[in-house]
Amino acid sequence: MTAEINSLLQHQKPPLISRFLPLLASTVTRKPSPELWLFFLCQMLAITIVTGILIFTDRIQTAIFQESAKMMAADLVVQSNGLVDPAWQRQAGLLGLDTVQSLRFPSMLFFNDQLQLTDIRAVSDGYPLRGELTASATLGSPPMAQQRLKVALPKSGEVWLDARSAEALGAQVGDQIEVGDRSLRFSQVLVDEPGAAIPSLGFAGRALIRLIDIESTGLVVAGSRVSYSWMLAGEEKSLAIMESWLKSRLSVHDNLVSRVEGSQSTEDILNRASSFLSLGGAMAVLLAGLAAMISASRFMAGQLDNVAIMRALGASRQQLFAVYFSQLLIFSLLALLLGYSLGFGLQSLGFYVLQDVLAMPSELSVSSFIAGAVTALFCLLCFAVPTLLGLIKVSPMRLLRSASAQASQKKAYVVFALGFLLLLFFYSGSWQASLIVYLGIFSLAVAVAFVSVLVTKGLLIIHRRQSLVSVNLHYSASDLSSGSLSERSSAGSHALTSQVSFDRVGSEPKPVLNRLALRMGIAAFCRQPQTSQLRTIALSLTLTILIVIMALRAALLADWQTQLPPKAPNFFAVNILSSEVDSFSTALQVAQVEQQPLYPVARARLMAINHLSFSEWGVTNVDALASLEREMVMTESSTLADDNILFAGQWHGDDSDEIEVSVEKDIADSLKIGLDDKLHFSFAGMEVIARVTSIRKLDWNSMRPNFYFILSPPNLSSFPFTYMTSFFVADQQVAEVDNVSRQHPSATIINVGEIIERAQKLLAKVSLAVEALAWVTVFAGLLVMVASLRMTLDKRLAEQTIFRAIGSSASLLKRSLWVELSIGGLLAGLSAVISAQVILYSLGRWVFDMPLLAPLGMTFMVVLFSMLLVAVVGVRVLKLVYQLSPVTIWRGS
Amino acid sequence: MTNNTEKLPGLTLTAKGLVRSLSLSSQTVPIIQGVDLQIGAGETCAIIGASGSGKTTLLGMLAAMDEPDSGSVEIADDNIHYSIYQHDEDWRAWLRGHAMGFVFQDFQLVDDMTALENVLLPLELAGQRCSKTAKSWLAKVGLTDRIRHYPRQLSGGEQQRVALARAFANQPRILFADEPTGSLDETTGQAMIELLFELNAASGSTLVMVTHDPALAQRCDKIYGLRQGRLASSSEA
Repeated sequence: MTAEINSLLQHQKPPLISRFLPLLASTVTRKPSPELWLFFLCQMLAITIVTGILIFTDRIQTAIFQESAKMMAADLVVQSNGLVDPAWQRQAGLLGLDTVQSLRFPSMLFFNDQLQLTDIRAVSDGYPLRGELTASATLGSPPMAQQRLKVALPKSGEVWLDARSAEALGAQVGDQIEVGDRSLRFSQVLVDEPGAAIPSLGFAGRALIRLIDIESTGLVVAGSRVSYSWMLAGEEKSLAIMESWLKSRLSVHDNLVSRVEGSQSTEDILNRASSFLSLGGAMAVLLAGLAAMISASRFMAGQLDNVAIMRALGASRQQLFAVYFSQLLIFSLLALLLGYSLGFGLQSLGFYVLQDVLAMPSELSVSSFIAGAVTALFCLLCFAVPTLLGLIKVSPMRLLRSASAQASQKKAYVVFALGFLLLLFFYSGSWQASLIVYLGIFSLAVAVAFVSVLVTKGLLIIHRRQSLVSVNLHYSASDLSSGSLSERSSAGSHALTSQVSFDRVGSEPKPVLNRLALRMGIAAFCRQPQTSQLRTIALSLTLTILIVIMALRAALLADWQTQLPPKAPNFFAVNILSSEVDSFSTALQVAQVEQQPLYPVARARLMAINHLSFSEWGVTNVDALASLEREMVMTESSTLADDNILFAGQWHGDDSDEIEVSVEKDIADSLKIGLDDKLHFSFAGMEVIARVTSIRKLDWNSMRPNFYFILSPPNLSSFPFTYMTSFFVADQQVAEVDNVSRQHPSATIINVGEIIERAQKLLAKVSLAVEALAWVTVFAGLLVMVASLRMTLDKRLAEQTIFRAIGSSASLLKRSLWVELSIGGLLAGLSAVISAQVILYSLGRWVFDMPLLAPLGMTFMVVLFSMLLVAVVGVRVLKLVYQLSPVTIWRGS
Repeated sequence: MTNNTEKLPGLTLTAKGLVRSLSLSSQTVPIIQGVDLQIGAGETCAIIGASGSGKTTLLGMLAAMDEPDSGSVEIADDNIHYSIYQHDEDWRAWLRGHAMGFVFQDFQLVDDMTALENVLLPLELAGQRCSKTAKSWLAKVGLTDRIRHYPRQLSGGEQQRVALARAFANQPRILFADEPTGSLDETTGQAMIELLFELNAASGSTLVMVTHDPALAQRCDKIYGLRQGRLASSSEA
């Protein structure tokens, strides 16, 4: 002994691992407590949500980029007025990027006596870098993908024509087609090429030739309308380096298009959806974390005596920490593995829903899985360890004195709140974004809690009044003051007096029983408003989100369709030559298509304001600056369009002596442009300075041609320009519009309706994913409810023994439980409906500018759903309360 | 605790000037007010007193569970003295696990452990999983056929016998018992006391027992009477 004590004093204790492993082995082989399973379930849910959402959004972005790259035929494209600088080519080579040069221009093709205006694309080896060409051997034969074609591209001296051009020319595969000065052999029928995936109708025919043949055709000379595209593809990192390298070297007429810009509209929808998903996900993780903390703390509370015993038997704090932490860690690892699988399954389900609008990419980001692991670690460290640290400090004196008081949970809640903020920071990488979400959730919780407290107080007041009335009506004074019951607290005695009354009417019919159950249920609910508050808030928070998302989804999707006036234009026609304006209009009239005015358009770039560069002028708006990097479409007009509203200044009309310009209000605000400012435009390298004489407001959703800048006429005629217009085409008129297109092959007719439909389909599907997440959040709220209900189990069992002892039946206890829980559900539902309506009204009033409220039917269903959910789940969770016999509880079994 | 089966002598226990008070809201209530006592190696000692006299608090301090506000508790082995509360809680935990045994009034068995697992617990905490030893102790208390049963499946007397087996499993050199018969009927309690004294005599350990039963106290070598936190009497057999 002496030697042993001495060895301890000299710190010669056996290693911790050898002292805790046997204990751990016996601990983990025992059946885990329900709280540990609940902790596991909560953690798993949090990991599932985080992993699922991150994989989903990450893969969606990859899918969009891939789709965009396919449409662009490359990852990065430099559009310019000439061939690529050899130095750029060398830099791309150094970075290991693949490159292709492409030229595109309209030109006439001849065959026999036929001629056809065709959009000719001349490409170098390797085209396309992304996506695939399809072609067929003869007209009418099935198309084949590029990989299956004997020759991937036309050989030098060959041309591939699309069916439209071939038919217009009356040419067959094998015929010689005149392309400028050259005669090229028509060797394959071009079916599809990257970039042609944009829904379009009618267009000039298409032809594909080799770049090396261009010079010999003599079609590209100085002044020719040729678009040069230098295409690049390769590794993400190399592309990023190349992109930043290029940005400092681009001239004003070069345009750099990355996959991000190429997919802007789709990305906007998905970015918003991702934000919703992230917010909803954060909310679900918060609730799952809260439930995990409650269940962990209940698990720990159940271990207080055991820990005291072990401490009395010689367990050190480290030993106990190691044992319990290992146990939690094992559950966390299991939760992580299962969470990964479920998260992956969840995102697969998301892509299954999106399958007809977006192809699922094969790439899988490791960062999503890391985020899942970090979530598991956070749940463990922030939500369970603080309680564990309190547990291992339990004094063994607990065994000698009946000290059952549990340590305060305040510290644990503080750690939880800070931990959740850290977790948000980890997800977003930005303190600002984290704080916005954090405060947003906090404000929502406070608002819902406020409503919930108000409704609870109201219920309590009604209950007290009713109690007094019913006591006076149905119960005698002796009922209320009998025996030891009078010694109890007023709330407790109230419930018990109800019970005493039941003893007196034990043989009375069911309505009496139901009335007693009702009174007991209400009394039980009122006795513990504080404990029931947490679950009410958690559940109503999730239901609020659910109502808001469901109502928003329904309203916005419906609004998209209803906001457009009947016969709003669904087709745009661009590239209408000046010489064809009259015939084009006439052709549309013949086809009985009502068109908007025709606008002359030219491409230009805003270069400076009042002789100052944008930075000198003080433009800081990032979006505005980005938009200035691209050329924009300019028009001139003497009349103000119907849907344009003059906001400031005077409309220029058609009799101005100087060049005047009218500016759209939003861009004027973001560029800090005011009346009389001088704007410097570059039209194909020629500078035009215009004075701002008016500022307009317009509706971008009108589906009519709309412009940021409108010049006073006649100022476009000195530059190359075409015309554009929009019109509504009914389904039965599509064939006639196709004829118009054939008659005007230089014009490009775009089916915008189809694009919008596709975007809307995407929106509908993505919003479905958002709504699905809202349901997951409800599930997380349900876990909080289950965890908090289980927290009350011991107290309920103790009460149950008293109730049963004085004559209550199991059936009455069950009924009163139904009543109590239904009230909780009703409260959560009502709070959620009120909160959601306030939020929706505010959103409609200040954000969407339309009346927005959840329909009455929906709110009724939510309240009903909430009542049923809480009652059904709660009665199941608390089944021991009415199932166990009092004797079993007394025996401590 | 030693791994051999050699009988080791009990430890001497000395308390000097023990003071302990409890803070209840804004008030400080004195529980133990300057208690001195000495229990020799292998002696049996009873601490008696009315409810609220501070018996249990004193036992907690003697058993290295509860630090006094002032005063000291020493254990001695071969005339080498160790002042328990001069060391940290880890040391005291080690001491409890290796040199002390406990029998509680409410048995204090771990509910979700079988009888065997409960007896194994102190062995596991000491870093060994020796089910043979645990089974032999259960056999000594007559529970060979109940080793797989959980506490809820055992009677009160059986549960206290499991607690006895657990207390002796680590061959403690000083045993503390807090009202060991307090939750048992007279006959069962009597049988339990016989078993306790029998096992204690066999192990040679020092026994410190808190009781309010004068007859039970009379069986001990030494009796300390406690009244309002002070030693009111002491007697030796």
